[in-house]
Amino acid sequence: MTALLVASVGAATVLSLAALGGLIAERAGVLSIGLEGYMLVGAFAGVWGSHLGGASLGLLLAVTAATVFAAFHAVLSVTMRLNQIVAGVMMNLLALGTTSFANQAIFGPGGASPVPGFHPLSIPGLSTIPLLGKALFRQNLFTYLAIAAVVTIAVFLGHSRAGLALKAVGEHPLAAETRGISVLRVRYAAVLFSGAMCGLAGAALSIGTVDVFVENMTQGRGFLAVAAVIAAAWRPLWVVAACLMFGIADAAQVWAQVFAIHIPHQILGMAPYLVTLLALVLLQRRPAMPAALGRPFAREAV
Amino acid sequence: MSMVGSSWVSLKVLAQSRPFTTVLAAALSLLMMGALTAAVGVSPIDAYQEMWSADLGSSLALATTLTTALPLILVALGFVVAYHAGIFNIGLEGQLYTGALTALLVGSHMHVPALVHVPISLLAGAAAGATWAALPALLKLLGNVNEIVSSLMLNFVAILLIGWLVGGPLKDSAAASPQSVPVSHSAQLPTVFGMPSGLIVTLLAAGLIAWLLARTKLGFEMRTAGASAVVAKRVGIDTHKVVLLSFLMSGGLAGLAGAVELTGNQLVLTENFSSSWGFTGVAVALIGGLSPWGSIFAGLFFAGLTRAGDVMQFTLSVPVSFALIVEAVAVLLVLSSVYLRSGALALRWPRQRKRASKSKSGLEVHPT
Repeated sequence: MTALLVASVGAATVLSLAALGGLIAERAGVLSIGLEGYMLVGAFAGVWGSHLGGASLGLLLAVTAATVFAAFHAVLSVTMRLNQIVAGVMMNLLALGTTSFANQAIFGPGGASPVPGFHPLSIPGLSTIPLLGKALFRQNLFTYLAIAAVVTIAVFLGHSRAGLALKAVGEHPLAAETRGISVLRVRYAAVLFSGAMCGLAGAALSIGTVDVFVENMTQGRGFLAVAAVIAAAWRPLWVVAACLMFGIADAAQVWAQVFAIHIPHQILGMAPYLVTLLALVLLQRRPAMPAALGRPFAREAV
Repeated sequence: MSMVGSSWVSLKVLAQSRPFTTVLAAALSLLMMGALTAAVGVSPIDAYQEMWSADLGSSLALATTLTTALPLILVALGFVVAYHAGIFNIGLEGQLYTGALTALLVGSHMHVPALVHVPISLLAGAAAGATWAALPALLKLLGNVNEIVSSLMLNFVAILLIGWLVGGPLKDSAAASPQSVPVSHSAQLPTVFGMPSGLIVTLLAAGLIAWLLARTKLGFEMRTAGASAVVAKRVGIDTHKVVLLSFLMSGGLAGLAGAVELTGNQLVLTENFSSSWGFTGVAVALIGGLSPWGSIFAGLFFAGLTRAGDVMQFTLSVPVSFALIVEAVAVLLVLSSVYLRSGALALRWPRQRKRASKSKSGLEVHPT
């Protein structure tokens, strides 16, 4: 049981970091279909940095590279007002191509051998609590960062002026702009933030879990993070709850060991997507989606 | 609800300048290919020579390039047909997988002569793709669920379903890694003069879509709904019918792509059956200027790049993934060029700029 919880929290960490970043971008009105690509860039840069100068450099490089990558995406979808779906899909293809290319060009066809990574840190006292202690307080750095991030983001969105400005930009950019909020600046900041969070998520996946990079190692987790944001109706605490649930499905291999029943992991893997579809159907009565999501904004038109 | 926004307009500009866009993209792609091969220390001249011989050097090379192009073109056609009706189908990947699965089931379980077996397998694949695409359409029409999100989610459901089937109920017990039993010989697409006969199917599909969009009442209704759902409703077009039919055709083409690839090339189904064609096909459609014929040329071109990548991986140790980079960057550059040409840089002509920006302001009526 503990093994299941530990594995689920580990999987949920990766998803939560990415989903919280996506949440901020979407609340500012920018579709986050590119999360998958940002994460992949982060995962590769993490391994590369760690290979060059240890795990800390890996973390730094992961966040930097994913943020820069997100900045490109912001130029396309915020400044150039390209179709955000198309831009997101292309950024994902670009990330897949670039990381696979760089991986082979730098490390040769076999990829890098394991690099230094982050290992679980026990929090004294708390980690000895039965069941939950090990799952929550004997994880690596990334889990603690994710917990800190969700608290910060919940407070930011719910109780700060800047959070209000961000939501205004996502709901009614024209109104926000007339109140003196720069829609462009807020959207840039939001997309860059989502890039940084996905950099962390990618690093959590590569140097926080297996210490190697594998081509396309995100395997749709970025889309799963988008799904979590939608299933949670764009609310931070619910996002993390959704990620935890998705994490349990992701830890499917452990299920079989714990409960001695064999559910094919693909069947469990479908659950998050089906839950998201169900949530979309059920949430129709209460529109939760930011009203201006996916709509480019042109300042000159004000 | 519109998640599509006013960038619709910029894609329209793209559709109006087809030959220019496609030629520009092809030229840029070749330049980028040279730059990327140079980056890993390989002479671009060698790379171009290798590409030539890999793609067109022999009739076998040509046949392989054509085979590689078919799923790309068919998926691109699927994107194009829905696009003109104002619908973004990004569930093409899942529809392709369900098409391949159904073509496999029909192609391996029925016992009929090839003359019947081949077309029936292909049709079954197309029908399955259409059925999978009907789900987001119905969710949109009945439950007001955003079709972009739902079709994206259904991709993963389909891929996971196939992953389970080829490792479980449909697994070929003789194979080491999870893969399905092969399609029967009678269901395999034959070659005609050494060339894949799937090409005929693909050309027919492109012709049919071009004709549908340009010449038929339904095509007119689709394009009207794509331009403005409000106008379409006002002139009495049944927009629900348009949404449903567009999704069915789009998914049908993606399903056909899966069926053609399965019966004409891979013959067995695996978890990694598709090389992200559901997404690279979108790139092909955009490079092809969102037209059916443009999709054919863009599909052939990118198939040429992909084949060159496959070969150069071995002969010159150039990572095969360069083709993906080239594809994505080409699309992004072309789309950016649309932005640059659409008045955003025309600061010296304020009046023109004003008009251009107004049409992109997000204030006008949107499709979907």
